[in-house]
Amino acid sequence: MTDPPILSKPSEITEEVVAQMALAAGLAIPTARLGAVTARLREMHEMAAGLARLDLDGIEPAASFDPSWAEDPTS
Amino acid sequence: MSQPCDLTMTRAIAEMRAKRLSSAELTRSTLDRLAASEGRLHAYVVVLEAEAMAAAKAADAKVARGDQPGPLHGVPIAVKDIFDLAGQPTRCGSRVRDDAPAAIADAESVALARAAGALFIGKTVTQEFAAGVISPPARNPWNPERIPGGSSGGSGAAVAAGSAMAAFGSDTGGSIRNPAAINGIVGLKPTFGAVDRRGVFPLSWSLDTVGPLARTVEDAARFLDVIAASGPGRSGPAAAAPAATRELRDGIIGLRIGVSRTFFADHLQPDVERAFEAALGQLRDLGAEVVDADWAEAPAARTASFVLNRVECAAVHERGLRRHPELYGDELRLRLESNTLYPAEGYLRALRARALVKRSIAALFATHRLDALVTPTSPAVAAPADDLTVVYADGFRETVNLAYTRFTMPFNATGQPALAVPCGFDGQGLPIGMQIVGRPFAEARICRIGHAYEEAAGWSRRRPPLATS
Repeated sequence: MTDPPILSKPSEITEEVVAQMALAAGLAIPTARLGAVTARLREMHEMAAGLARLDLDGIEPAASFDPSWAEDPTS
Repeated sequence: MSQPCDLTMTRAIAEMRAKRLSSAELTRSTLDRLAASEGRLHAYVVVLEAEAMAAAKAADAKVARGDQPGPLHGVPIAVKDIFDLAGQPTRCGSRVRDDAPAAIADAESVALARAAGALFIGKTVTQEFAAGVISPPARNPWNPERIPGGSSGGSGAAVAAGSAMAAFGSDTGGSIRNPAAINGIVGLKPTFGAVDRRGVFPLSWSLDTVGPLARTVEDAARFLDVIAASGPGRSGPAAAAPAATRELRDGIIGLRIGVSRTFFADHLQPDVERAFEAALGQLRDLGAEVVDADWAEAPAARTASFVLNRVECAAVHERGLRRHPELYGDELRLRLESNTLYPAEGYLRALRARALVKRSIAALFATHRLDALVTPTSPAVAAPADDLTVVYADGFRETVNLAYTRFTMPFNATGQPALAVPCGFDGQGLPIGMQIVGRPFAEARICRIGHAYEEAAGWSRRRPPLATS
């Protein structure tokens, strides 16, 4: 049994869906631009799909990024 | 014939200290080069000729009085137009900022350079709000039919052409390193947080860095040492200034340099691959141990960086997009509209992935006892301004926006310092770059490697036709 998708499949992102999401976000996207915005949002989901396959259990998002390597991770 | 503006910044400073060259002479020469090249390069949005000459004469007067010169005394430097420069508007390459008032103070990093004696010759072209790699209308001094990369494209073109001795850039996904590679110069992205970002318009808060573009590694390291200096109220997590010049003369015998064939060997232009392999050979000849060190999480690092970049950029412009969407350029507006609709869960997943990839790169460096990891800076050379798709020999196609950031973005996610140095030219005479990535706050080590390579390889001594005609 496979896990359900974490995020929408790009093919499920249609102009109608984008129009509804924009409405909910209070963002006015002219009808003439919906096709291009939809295509770009699909690309973003396609690009990000790889992250959905990572095992991130137990990893918390850091609100402020610290680049330091606090300790040798192999020790 | 070589002019004062063709000296490296380090050499020019030495000449001025020896009183064989004045700041006025150096600045005049730089302005003359700017006048001769700008009609084809379009690297500047504003040129501050009168201010720069007045500052140069004042710098010379200080020396004549016997005042102790600062480390950048009398050096004409350019500033990317997302940095505040006192008295000038910060327009960020956007109509959104057409009516921006003059900045009342310098950005923190600019103030540090000014306090060190630098003078400012003008503000350089950026891609709109630093979000992209094309930097119109700026062009490439090696071939003005080609783009200069970006988003610090004007800075890259100006330094390569000799119309600035060095320049400020910012790097969120590669915007210092790719214009450095594309213009045949050096670019140094410091560790995240090592240089204060106050007074620099944000692109993506958790990824933005500020650093130098220069003609040599030593020039870039000297510049970084000035702008990374600690100061009151300094922002960011850095514990100490990097002291990038500290190891420059130490050579690289015995240093361990990793190469990840995973991800960083995919879809390269053939001349880029040849130049990179030759550079690895030269690093071995210089005494380094070059070892295979595959970073399996590199694709995830790139993707995490991409998502954070795009979503944070949409948040930066949340109000602007709602108030006056028509003032944004088509490409950025599209990016903002679409990424405003990207789910918060996806953003948080990218943040969590960032923690994972940071852990993985630390483990890679520890396992292989690496001093640095090297990659090509960009898989492709400067693209024609009228054809912004890169097609590789294997048939793979991608836009320049994706191509130029493919190998740089992973290290914005990890926050590591990364240095771009020239490593050759393609068959059309276009520059190719190598990226040297270090441990956090180990700018000195990557500059040491870059300096040793640069001295041996000599690519930095080549100048573009616009600088010699």
